[in-house]
Amino acid sequence: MKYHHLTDEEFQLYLDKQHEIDTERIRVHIDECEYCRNQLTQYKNLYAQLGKDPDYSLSDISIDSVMEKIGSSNLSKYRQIGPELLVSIFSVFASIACALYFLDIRSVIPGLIRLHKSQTELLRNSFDFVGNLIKGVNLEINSLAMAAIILSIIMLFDLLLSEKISRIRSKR
Amino acid sequence: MNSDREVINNILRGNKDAFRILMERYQKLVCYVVFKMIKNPQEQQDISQEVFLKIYRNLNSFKFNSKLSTWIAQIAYNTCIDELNRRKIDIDDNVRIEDDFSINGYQSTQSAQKCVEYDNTFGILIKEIDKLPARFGVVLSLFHLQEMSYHEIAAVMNLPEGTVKSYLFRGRKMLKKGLESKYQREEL
Repeated sequence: MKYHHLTDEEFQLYLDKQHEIDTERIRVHIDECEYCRNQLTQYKNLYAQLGKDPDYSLSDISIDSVMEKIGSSNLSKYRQIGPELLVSIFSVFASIACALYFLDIRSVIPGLIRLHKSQTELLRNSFDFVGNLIKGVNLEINSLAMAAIILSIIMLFDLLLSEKISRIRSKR
Repeated sequence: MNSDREVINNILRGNKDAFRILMERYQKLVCYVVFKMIKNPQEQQDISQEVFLKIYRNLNSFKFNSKLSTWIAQIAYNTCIDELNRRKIDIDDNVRIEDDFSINGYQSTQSAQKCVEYDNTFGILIKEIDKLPARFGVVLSLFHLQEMSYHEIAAVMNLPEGTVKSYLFRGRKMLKKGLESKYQREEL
């Protein structure tokens, strides 16, 4: 053991305080071996030097230049999400408007009441729930298709706008 | 002192002056990465500016899933890689241009004064680090000056943890040998 010197990796793992090394074994060896004790001292000195701050810094000109460039750009979380938020709100209102326009409201309300009454039963069987919902709302296939087309247009509009926004951001 | 989260929220609310706090807080980290990767003093300043502008533009995408320091170091490292790739410069061939007094690399007179202030070993070490491949310098700076773990450095440089360890061990071994031979030569 005494004549089997520690490797550079072992010294470094020991000083990095890594669990993968048997620190007790290293300590015992260092106590016994003068060569490794000297090597460890050299590594400790190296670590001490490496931990010194080289005082790297940005020049004041660079900091001011960044602040100036930032000053001329418009960026805030709320401004950025603004267009997306508007599209989302518009989509929700458009969907509700479509539903109100294409669906027979008179049949929706009794349907919802029926749904409320049969709530306990519905919870037991999810298939019943879907069935009652469709019956209650009394949707017509044509209305559904129309609503789907309008929603697709809205989604397309949203997609185009998002792409435009991301292109503007990447240019900045 | 405001936490990073508070500073970021202030910036995102439109308080641009809050970004100066962030810059002052993280300029050393950015410099540790950029100054090791880019050897030309003027370009170091330009690229550091670019890094901070990228941080500002992308701040709203930072969701605190990692440490802010890791995220910033990632941006700095990737910006340097992109810049070197754009100029078709091999990362490890990017040697510091002759500037014997350059410790922090931006103003020779200032650096020369600092060089005198530093003790001799540290001055030699800085020069020895500059002789190492750039990636080794980044790994050593992040580990010893930013106290990042192997895992965090691996995330910053998008490298396996084993590679980071290997860079660290080889870098230190080379530095130790470099310092030893330097002192032996001086003794002779």
